[in-house]
Amino acid sequence: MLAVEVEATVGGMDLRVKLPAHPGATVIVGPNGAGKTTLLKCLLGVIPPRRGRIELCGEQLYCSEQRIDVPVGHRQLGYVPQHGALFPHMTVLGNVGFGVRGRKAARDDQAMALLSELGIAHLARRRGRSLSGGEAQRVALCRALAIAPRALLLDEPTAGLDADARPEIRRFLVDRLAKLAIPRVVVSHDLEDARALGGRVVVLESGRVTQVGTVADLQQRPATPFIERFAGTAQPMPRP
Amino acid sequence: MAGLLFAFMVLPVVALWVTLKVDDLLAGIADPRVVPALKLSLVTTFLSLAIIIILGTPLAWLLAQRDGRLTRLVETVVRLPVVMPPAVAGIALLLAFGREGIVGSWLGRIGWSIPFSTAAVVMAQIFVSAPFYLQAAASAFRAIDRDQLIVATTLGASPARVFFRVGLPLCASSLTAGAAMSWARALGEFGATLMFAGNLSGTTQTLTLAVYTTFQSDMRAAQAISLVLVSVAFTLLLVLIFRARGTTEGHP
Repeated sequence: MLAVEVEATVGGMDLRVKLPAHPGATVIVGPNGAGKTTLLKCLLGVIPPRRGRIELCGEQLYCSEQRIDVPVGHRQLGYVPQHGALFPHMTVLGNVGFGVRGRKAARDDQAMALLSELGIAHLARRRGRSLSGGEAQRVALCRALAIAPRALLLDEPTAGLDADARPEIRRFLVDRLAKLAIPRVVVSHDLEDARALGGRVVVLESGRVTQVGTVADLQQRPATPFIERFAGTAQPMPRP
Repeated sequence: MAGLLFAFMVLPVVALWVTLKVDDLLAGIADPRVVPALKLSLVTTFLSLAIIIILGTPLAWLLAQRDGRLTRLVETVVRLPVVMPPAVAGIALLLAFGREGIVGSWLGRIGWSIPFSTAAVVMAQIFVSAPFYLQAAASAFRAIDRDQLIVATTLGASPARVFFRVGLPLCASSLTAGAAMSWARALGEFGATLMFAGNLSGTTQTLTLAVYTTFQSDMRAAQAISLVLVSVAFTLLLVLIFRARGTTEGHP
């Protein structure tokens, strides 16, 4: 369960978001500059909110009233940034093992087991910088899962991939994320992502939540002109 | 037209090599000033480079992480020595660390005197050459994808681990290039050293000062020492460049 209520101001943009507790997948959509990535970074603890509360499975990660602010490294959140952001100088094994504790051999074993589980063990010896966009996304997910996260945050997992790789990665994500019993938050530009990942869709516009519902809700009762345009076409949103 | 500047820059370098007879070169190298000056230059420049790297790398990392007014102010201040004429730098160092200087007068009371010592040579070199390293390091650190650092932190890495395992390896080649530029500047240091450290053979007479001193009596000997100086500089620069190229192999 992840419950969020945050207010933050970053670079002139005022973010006020309240999301009731939700156990499964939350897909956050919205136009560029709506505050989607800022919201993710508030959850991660990278951007300090002005005030609010973030509660994960009964534990407060942040609470302005009680002055609780769990440091980034102690929140145990799996983060998959845009384009994966792999460590380019390390091997895939090194990337995945980075967050695992223990001796080198044990770390490697655990990383290898995870790579095999995700069906990408053949990439283990490759350098981070030598991977394609789709491969990088898979490894980035694997790296995030290696710390046994209590929640998973993905920023635009299908953005920047070519048309062939996108459905493949989407299928991969749907497949993997469905097996997880932890809250998942996925920021996306793409209605297809929202449809495929299921769960609730949260629409963010200019730092405010304008609608929460399923893709069908958005299509049948769009609350704003943006949602009408967004849900009306199954095409990915054009990036300006 | 396009080649004019190139020709102008190459000609003096060529002249330095071709106008000297082998006998003169050997005689010049045999000058008693050469060996102590070469030794002093190598020792002091490596010492100053080591201090710059050890103290400068964390400073550059810090500057790259922040983006406030104080950061910009600090960055501007550490860049000042680049635009400061070396002779002025020498005066400034004397006013700070000289016998009558702000800090120097205090040091004097506990029996420490910095000017005209080897320490002064190192200090002059650090002052004029640190900006080259700091600037290269700060811009390299700033070019790192923020998300890589954020991910490393979410994976539970301490700030030190983020720095040593992610930041430092990603910038290794830029840092090496910055260190090479900084070291070359220190090796060529003349003005500030002369004002602040003097020109004492064996203690403060570096290769550049030896060139200047010899030049007043014997042009050929000065040229021979110059050749030693540029040979050392070119060799080390080449080594650094090739090593840097080795570590960047495979970069996109």
